[in-house]
Amino acid sequence: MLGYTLRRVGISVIQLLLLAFLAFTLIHFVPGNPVSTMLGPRATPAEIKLISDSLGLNKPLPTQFWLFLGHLVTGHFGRSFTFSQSISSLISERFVPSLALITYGTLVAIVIGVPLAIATALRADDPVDHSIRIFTTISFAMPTFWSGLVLAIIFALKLHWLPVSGYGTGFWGVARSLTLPAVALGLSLLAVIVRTLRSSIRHVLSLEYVEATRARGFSTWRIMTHHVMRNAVMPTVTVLAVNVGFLIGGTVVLEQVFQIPGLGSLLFQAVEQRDYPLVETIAVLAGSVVVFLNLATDLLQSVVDPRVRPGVRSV
Amino acid sequence: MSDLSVRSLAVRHRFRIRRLHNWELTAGIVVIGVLMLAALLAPNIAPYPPNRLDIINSLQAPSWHHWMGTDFVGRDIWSRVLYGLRVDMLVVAVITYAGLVIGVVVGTIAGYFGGWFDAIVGRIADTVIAFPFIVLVLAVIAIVGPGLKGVAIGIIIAGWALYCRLARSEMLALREQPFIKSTKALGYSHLRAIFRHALPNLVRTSLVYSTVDVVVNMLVLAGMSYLGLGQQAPGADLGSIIASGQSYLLSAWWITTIPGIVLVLFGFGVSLIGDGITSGELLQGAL
Amino acid sequence: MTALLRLEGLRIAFQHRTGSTEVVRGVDLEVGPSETVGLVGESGSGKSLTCRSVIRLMPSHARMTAARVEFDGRDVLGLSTSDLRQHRAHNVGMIFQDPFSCFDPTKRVGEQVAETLRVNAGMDRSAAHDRALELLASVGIDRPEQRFRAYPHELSGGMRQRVMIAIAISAKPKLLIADEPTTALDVTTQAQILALIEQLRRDSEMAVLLVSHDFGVIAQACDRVAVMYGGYVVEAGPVDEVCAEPRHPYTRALLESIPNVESAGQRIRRAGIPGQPPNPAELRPGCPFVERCTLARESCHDVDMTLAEVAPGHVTACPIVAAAVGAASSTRGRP
Repeated sequence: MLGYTLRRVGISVIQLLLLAFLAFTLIHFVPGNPVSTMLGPRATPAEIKLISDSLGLNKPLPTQFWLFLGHLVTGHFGRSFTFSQSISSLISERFVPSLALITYGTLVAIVIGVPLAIATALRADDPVDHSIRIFTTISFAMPTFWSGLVLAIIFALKLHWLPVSGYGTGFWGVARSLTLPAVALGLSLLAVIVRTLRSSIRHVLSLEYVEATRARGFSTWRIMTHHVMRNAVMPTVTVLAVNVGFLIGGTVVLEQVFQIPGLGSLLFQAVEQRDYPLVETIAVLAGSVVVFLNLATDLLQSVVDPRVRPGVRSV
Repeated sequence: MSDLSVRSLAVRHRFRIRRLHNWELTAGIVVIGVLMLAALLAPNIAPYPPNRLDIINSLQAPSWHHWMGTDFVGRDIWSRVLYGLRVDMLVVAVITYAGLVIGVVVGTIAGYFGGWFDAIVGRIADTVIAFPFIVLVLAVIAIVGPGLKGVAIGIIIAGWALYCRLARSEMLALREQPFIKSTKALGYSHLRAIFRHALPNLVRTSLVYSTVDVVVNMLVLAGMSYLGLGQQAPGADLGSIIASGQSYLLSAWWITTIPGIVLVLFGFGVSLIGDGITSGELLQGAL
Repeated sequence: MTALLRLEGLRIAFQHRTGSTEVVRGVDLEVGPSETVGLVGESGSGKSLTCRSVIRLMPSHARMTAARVEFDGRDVLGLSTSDLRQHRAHNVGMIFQDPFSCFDPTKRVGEQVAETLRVNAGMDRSAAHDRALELLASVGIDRPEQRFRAYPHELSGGMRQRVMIAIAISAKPKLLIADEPTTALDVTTQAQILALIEQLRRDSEMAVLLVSHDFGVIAQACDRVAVMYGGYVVEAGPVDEVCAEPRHPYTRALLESIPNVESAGQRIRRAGIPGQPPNPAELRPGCPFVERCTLARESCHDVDMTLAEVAPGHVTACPIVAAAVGAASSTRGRP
């Protein structure tokens, strides 16, 4: 068990390194000179050289990468161009709203999605199943920013139930202001959850041990809650972890729509302003979150399902 | 007629009949067909030039004259949507299938030859996949600059990796199959083995996945345009039209709402096609 | 003797998009209290579905109809959902072929026994725990405390089958249904499991319905046997009689294809039965064995597969054999 954990963590470390490497290479190997783009078409070569030097862009590549890694690890990300603040303080300010939004959105998707998935799994191929599937396909096809806008039009502007933008104060203020974007986020995640959960529930239902529990006279409720869900949930959690990347992406646009001071809108502003250090750092940060989440789900899976643990011989 | 040709006729006939029973596939094809037709014929069927200003008639609700209303400078939304759809569908098709081609070719070669090339490619692909998609696209836009070019390059860079992984893992499995091994025995060049024999099988999974990818890429493209990082003025695409209605959310809700409905229709149609293909295939396997 | 279980006219069909396929086409079966009845046939003969009909454990696309399914005098077909659950929990216990896939792989085996006790017998945690240990011991599991905490994949096939039996008998059912209980086991373990079932039956006066494709197993363990083919019962009777004097061409062919110890020494080629079992999707009226039968005649296509008695308690569906036996006994009767 320990061996597996160590190995898995090791893989994650390698992934993080590669992530940093990828972010680093992007700046250097993608068409377009970042500095000249940043300074605009009227920059003189001297100006370009000056800025490049100050950014350390003219040092040999390996040195630059080493410095970059050092910054990442120590948390001294340097200063942002556009905001006169250190990047680490910027990030720590903006971190919480984004986290809140993502968590809230995931919760919405789970709360709506799990019952829907169970309903479709139990009633395969009947009208309920088909209508839920059509609904989730449509919700998947909706751009998150658009559903956010439509929700804002209806619930904020027309009905005045919820604020149209901004980030409230206090727990309830925040919750109210994040509800509309969270619902928009949840709607796009819904399809993934319903689809994967449905297929894994149906798979588990077809397994012999479920038939055996029916033969023992257990009620459907008991079978579902005690025997099916435990085994059906894992693949969905794994898929969720994989989709975190899209959730993070969704928040970028949603934060703009709803004027939420989170990392997503920070990233957007950084991109607009060609603030490379900031873009780089946020990108690596976002990637690391995904890596950590994948690590966590893999480890979780080994805890929940004893078969995954190596070292226990199956008969 | 020889035995073989009679049999292949029968097989094709059976397949066709099965497809017609498959309502998802036909519905999806109909929807996308209509959208494609509309996009292709945009110059012919758009009632107004998409950029024609008509301030007197600005912010009109949908009516007989303007099916989708007008925006804040009096441009006809319906015409703008048609042209926007044109741009969007073209761009999405190009970037998705460029990513597919790159990913499948690289992945197939990596899986076939193995060794260090495969190890490197595999790690790179996994890392790209681990990156949040939009974040990667944004990073590329930060460097290349806003505009369709930036978005396209970004999506291709972010998108090829999944196809690479799909193709690679299938190739690794396929490599052990007798019919590939026999190409070595027959002395076929590697190229021939890969392209004529392995690729046709590999491509199928990627094509099925591409239906999902097309929808996702379209949403990302629209999102980038909405943010102002995609299609730049004066050109319009669906995302930027939605953005143009931002200040008039309540007063002229049609500017923001209707182009989104078109996007949803597109995503829905493509998803139907994808579902149709997969459920049709399942049927094939069972029989 | 009043039968514990009575099946009459059982028909089971699978629904699919383009129609339905009948897999069990009219089966009559009786099991008396404390009897061991065997149901033997090839795969596809419908025997597994037949035994599941006793507790209405049908896959979702199957439709079951019957003139009568009676257990202990009560109609099973009309049971409400909760009564059906009670019936499954207390009247009938069932064990399955693959003892591995019948367990929740993420739970310890002892826990799964205890759970049945808690849910069905209403015991509290510690009482259920103790009783589970007792049950594990009673099915011949050594070191029950240790085995209690094992996961299914940590036990051997024979052990798992024993645990399954423990679960099945935990509510002291009147009938134990065993669907191919020994097929996944090696021969020695097979004998042990059969002996265990027999012992349990004697101790608690339980009836057993044993389903298998292996006539050897049936011959060892059962009092009576019903032979199934193509969705019908083709012969039924006391097991010794059926083995000694099979009254249906299929039974005879089945018996002849069993290797036995005597023939092992001589290299006699044991021919399997030529041909394939019938495809239920290609239903045809008449006897399903007609393609592979040595006695087949034109009239076999019109046979309606009702069972005729050829000796007390011994029935057959083959009119040719029935007629021959009838003629023989009536000639015997003449002076």
